Amino acid sequence: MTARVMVIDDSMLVRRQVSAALKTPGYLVTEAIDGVDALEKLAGLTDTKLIVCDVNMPRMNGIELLEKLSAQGSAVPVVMLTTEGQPELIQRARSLGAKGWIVKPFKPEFLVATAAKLAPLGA
Amino acid sequence: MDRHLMLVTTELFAADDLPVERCSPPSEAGLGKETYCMSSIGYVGNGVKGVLILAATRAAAEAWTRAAGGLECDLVDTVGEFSNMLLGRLKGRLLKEGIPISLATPLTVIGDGLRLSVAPGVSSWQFFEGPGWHLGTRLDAAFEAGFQRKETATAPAEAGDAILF
Repeated sequence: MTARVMVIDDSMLVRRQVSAALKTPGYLVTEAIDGVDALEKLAGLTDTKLIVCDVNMPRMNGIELLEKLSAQGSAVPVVMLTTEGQPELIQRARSLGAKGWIVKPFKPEFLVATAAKLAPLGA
Repeated sequence: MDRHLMLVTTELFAADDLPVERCSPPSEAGLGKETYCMSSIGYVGNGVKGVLILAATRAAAEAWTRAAGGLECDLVDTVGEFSNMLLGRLKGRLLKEGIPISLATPLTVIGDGLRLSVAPGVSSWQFFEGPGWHLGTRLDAAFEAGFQRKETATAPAEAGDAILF
């Protein structure tokens, strides 16, 4: 059994990197280019089990998306994947319900291990 | 600032198995005449603001895309993302130095023989080369009067770190 992961990043290169890493073990991956696009797609994809989200994006950034998801009462775990490592920003994301923080460039095995913990295949 | 930029540029590309070395400018004016993709990201901190610029040839962006596992190179996207990772690393270093900054998103342009119009003395290009390609980076920083470093209690997360809450 597979599980759907939404990858949100304004960089196509990163979306493709993340998608390739997660498709290998069997995840179904949907891509979104920013927070606005993600919210629109999430409304129609209720089977999403995990969100992997950048922080710095145009239109709606990752922290703003976390605020929206928190306000909606979303239970989908969110892992931030970003170049940012500032402790205050990490704490802000955590307080908004994020479940993890990965700093780019990322190691695919770390991302897959994180996905396996938060959205195990076959669960 | 220039020392930090040199170190993070070397670190970033080494992390993607793309070792680079400092090299001389492609022309007297700095950038060469070939097609460049140039990405800039503004930043602002308490008493400091500036911009990071990354300029890359098509060959450079194609090499970076391949190293990142990509097949098709979107020049704007690739150079924009690498400038983002470069400034992200720099942000971590500056935070350790007591200079927290916030980043904007990249603005990227492509053109033949691009030139940059900047005030003299603000910053200078640093050039690096890989096998068959080169890149240029520069970091402009303007410090306001009364600028002071701010001590931070917690170290920033580093590139490659994965934290589960």
